[in-house]
Amino acid sequence: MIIFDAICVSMPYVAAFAIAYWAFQSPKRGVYLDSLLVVLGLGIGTGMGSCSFFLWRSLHYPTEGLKLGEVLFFFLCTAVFVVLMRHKLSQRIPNGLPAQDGTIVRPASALLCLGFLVVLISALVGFVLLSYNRPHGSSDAYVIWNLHARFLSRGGADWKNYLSPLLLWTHPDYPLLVPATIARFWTYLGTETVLVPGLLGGFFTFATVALLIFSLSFLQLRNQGFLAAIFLLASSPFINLGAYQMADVPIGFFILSTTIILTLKDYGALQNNRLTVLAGITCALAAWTKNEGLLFVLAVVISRITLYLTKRDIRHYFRETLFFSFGFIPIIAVLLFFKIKYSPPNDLMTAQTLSFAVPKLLDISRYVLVGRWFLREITHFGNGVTVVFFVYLVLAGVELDERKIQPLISTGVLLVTMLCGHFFIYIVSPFDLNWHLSSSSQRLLIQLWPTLLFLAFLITRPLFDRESERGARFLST
Amino acid sequence: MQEETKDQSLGKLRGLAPLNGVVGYVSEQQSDMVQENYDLFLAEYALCPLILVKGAKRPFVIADCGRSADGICFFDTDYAVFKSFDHGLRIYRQKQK
Repeated sequence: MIIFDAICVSMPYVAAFAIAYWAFQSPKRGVYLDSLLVVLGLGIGTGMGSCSFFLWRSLHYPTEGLKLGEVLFFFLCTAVFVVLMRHKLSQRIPNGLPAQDGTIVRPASALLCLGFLVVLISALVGFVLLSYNRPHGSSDAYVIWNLHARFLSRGGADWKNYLSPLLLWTHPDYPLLVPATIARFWTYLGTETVLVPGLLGGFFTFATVALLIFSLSFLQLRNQGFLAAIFLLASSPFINLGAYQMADVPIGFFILSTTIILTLKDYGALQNNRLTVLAGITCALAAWTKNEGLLFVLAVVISRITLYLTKRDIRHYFRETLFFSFGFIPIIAVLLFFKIKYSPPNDLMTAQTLSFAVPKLLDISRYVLVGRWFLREITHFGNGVTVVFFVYLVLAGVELDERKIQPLISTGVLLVTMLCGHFFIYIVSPFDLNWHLSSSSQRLLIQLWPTLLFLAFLITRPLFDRESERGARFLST
Repeated sequence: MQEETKDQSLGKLRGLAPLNGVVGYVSEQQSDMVQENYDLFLAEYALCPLILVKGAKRPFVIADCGRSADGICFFDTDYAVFKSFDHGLRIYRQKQK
């Protein structure tokens, strides 16, 4: 029985690995892309499992039904992608694979690696201590995410109780990736152990670090990956929010995943259309994690349109959108089902009418206040880690080649759109602005911080001589 | 660790036969709205899928009076104690009229 349960619980992950393997299919992937594939597979599998659990819960089927349903559905998914992988016509030899892995370890590289290990161990110890002290997470975790998970897990037919107007303080309109994942594991385990939300927080925290290392090692240099990871691990709010089981770290993971996949596509590193399908999945999973993910979807659309407009190639944008939607639609359909059938309206949006928003939009003092908060958050973020980061950027300088222009435009526009979106949400906020900013602005920056690090270390000049790390970079064009 | 303690003590009330749907909740922190809300959130977390609402306008009311000196913080002549627990926890039932 335990073996059967283990098979059932791992089925979404098997399907996710099949999809990621299909998207990353290449004769010479190398260790970094293989590792990236594993991390992405785990993240996507978690998201797909949460979708299937929510659908099962909304259909009121018994637990046995969940197990059989998941096995059958994800087995079919896996089978489809295995068949697709065997389709030789769809294979294309990549045009930008890394050179052979002939890394020469120099003292400076070894020192950086050692520094990374020290920071990683410190972050792990910090994470464990914080989790041990607050096993139920921060107040937002047990008022929102873990509470929703308990309703989904315990509720039976009453799981919808949390959507009651009497419980609006628990934000019942929030998407369900985190709660449904926790509830799914609780249901399979038959117990509500606090280990599940804790481990989920740990997974998304350190998987984000892993994404940074493997992607930058493949696209740039391993040292750049380690440096970016050191900056991320040294950002105490990132580790804190992960340990406190907040959904800002998982959404940051999916934002970074989408950015990395689209960058791989823009580099022409792998089969383009397959990566676009995968990007559609991770983008939709960001929206299935938090409402900010909907802004992210809009930002992706704007950034890709901008990119193709600068290339004067809008025809290819529509082609990309088609493949993107293959991955995007199934997940976003689950979100829409939740939003339309169950979710009450969002508290930020219900208040928005023209007569309410226009005076706020014309109030200069609100712009000044929000601008000051943003500046303060950026300069004080992580006890000054951003100051060190900007000093590093200035000292290192930018190294742009033809390949990096597209990711720079796409990711740059994406980050600016996200920041502008958040800025204007604050401007028209129906809440006390000081309270709203103090309770959420840092968390919003944490969602974007891994992606900003990825972009920065992709375009900055490497810290060490390229000759010291020949193996991890692309063949020069 | 306060969450853990509260979760365990309130958890005893979960699944008790007469409690279902919407239940009233009273804590001894009625003068401090922030603390009162905090208590309510923790109680909801412990007792879901019950729906807890502040105050005593429901057939059943949970009184969470662990920090009161005498363990009593709910006084309403329309209600009678239905069941008592450790740590000042009581369930009150509205009297039949």
